[in-house]
Amino acid sequence: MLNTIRELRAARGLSQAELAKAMKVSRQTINAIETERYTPSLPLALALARYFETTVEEVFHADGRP
Amino acid sequence: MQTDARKPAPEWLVPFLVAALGVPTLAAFWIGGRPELGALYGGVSLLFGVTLAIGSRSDTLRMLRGVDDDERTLLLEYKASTAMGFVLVTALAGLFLAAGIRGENGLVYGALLVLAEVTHVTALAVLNRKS
Repeated sequence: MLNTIRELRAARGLSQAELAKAMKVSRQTINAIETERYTPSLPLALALARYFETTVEEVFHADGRP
Repeated sequence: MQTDARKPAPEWLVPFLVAALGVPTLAAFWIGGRPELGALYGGVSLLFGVTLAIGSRSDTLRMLRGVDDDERTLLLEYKASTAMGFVLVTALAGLFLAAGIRGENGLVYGALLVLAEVTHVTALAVLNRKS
């Protein structure tokens, strides 16, 4: 699923490992989400959106458009 | 937000269990009068357990050990287990048919196939009630 996690993370100067630690998931999972190989669960999607102080709709784009 | 409330098993558990399986394997074949086979099979189990324990650079081995478990690795584990079940059932079905062709009753393979399907149906029913 298209998402803006990489951009949001980069804007805050975070590494994948740091974001992974904050989300209590592995670095590989953050990488898989950023590269659209894995669609996170709703709880993780909500946690990511809250962490970046935005909404799930702003972070994830099911219809393929940003 | 916690995304995985499951308490992780200790890292050493899976390697230990795999390696420890070598002991009853050796004992069983020893009792059966084939200690050399027991040593071979037990050695394979021990080697696999040690590989699991020391393979820290491989993501696959880390997942097998349960290191850094999260929702994605659990999903991968489910898919891998499904693949394993599919291969086992396919092999059993093949052995069952081969037994029939050889004129044997194929009872062991048939019973295992029934056990697999009963487990599948039961698990679906229970999971459906719980979800």
